Amino acid sequence: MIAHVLKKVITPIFFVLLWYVISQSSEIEIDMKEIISYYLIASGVNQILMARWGDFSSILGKQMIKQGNLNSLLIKPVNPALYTLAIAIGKSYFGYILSILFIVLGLIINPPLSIFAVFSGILFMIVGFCVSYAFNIFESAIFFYVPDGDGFRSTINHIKSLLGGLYIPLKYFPINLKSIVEVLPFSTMIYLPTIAFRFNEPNLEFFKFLIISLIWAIVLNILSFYFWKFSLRRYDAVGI
Amino acid sequence: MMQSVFDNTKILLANIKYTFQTETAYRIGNLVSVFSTFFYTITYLVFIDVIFSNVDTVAGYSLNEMNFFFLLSQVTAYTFFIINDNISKLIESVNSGNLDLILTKPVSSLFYTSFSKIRVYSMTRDMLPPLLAVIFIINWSELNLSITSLMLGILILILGMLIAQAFLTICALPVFWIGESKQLFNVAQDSWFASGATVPFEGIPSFLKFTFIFLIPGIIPSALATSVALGKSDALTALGVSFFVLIIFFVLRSILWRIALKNYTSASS
Repeated sequence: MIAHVLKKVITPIFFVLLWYVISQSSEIEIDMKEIISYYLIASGVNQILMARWGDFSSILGKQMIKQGNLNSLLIKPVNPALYTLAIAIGKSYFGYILSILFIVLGLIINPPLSIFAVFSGILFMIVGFCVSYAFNIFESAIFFYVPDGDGFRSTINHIKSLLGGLYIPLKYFPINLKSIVEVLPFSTMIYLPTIAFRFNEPNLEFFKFLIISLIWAIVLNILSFYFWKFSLRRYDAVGI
Repeated sequence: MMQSVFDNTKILLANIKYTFQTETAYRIGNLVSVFSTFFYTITYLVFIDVIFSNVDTVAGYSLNEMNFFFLLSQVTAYTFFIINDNISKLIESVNSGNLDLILTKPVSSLFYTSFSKIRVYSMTRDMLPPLLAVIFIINWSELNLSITSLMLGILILILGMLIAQAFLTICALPVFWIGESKQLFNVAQDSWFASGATVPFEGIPSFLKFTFIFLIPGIIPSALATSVALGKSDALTALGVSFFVLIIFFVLRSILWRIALKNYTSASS
């Protein structure tokens, strides 16, 4: 258990340290409370939403598709994706408890200014989960085409880490790049749910980001549904 | 002594040949793997670039120097994958009882388990394209590098990797007593990685420097080696400290390995 906690905190600690060093060696105004809170909430959100290296895509892609365990699900009246999602959630229950603690700690360090901010954070997390679900389906379905799909998964996850705001809050991106990155689907899984805890009222920014997130959630889920359906035809396993 | 070196070299070559055969079995897997490491490098270079769009220096390091730091941390990371694989296999072999097969062989069991899989091909394949990209990006003439400081930096990098091997082996040894050490090994591995590749040596607070040099020696092969190569730290002190840590960890590993083997209860006998 201690090992699990340490494993989760070590990387955010070094990112916070990096920002501390940056604040010491430049004139840029960096609120360390805000940075610590950001990395804590972002780590928690990332784990809960299975945004980066999610257990869901790992189990569905590697255990179910690659190893042929999907057979036993296809002959049952269950949805293989939802069934696997339930397994993934059950497997990482301690990680979820820890992630909730991270988010709560992040909110204690830099408290939201209104109840609406908490509601906004939860709302963005729900929408972000839908986007992440679609991404996990895409990542798993790669295994229908390439038996060793880990390289592709790894590539997608590197992009998610950077453009999703896990390495660096997107607000520190150069202004032109930031305006593009903020509207990409990656931001809806980590960055937007994290900063959503700071929306104190339903203003223009709140609605802009909510609409962007909702559009991605709908579009990606439709695409992933058909991609999964199409890819399933290629499934060829021993035992069928 | 000579016979032992000769035997170990033969084992090493046989392991390299066998690993090469297994690694080249899947063509698409090979291509995709390079793609993935190349993309990781690009994302990290963008990450550094984004940071430097806000500041001029980080702990006294310019963008160019940070790219050099990234280059060395990547070299250590790829070398690390060789070490990592073998130690993971050691944990598995203790649990499955496969260690018996190694213990019955007339070879040094510690040496054999440390280098049973040498991924020369995949390491070169995954490492070369992204590292060439970083090498190409760095403006070498702007760096405060001399042949001596660079050589000393590389020497510290090598010492740091030997220390890492000993440190991670020690972290894997609890498997002999409690049957599990994967979690501890993972934490040690993540801490080693995170400490070495994120913050330059000069930016790390003193108490963390002590922790990550003497307890979890993650900053020696990349952060300290970079600092010495760039002439920012005293090379002789850094070298002395690295040798000292190496001796401590080698002695510790050797003692603990012997004690661990005495506690080994084979699964198959």
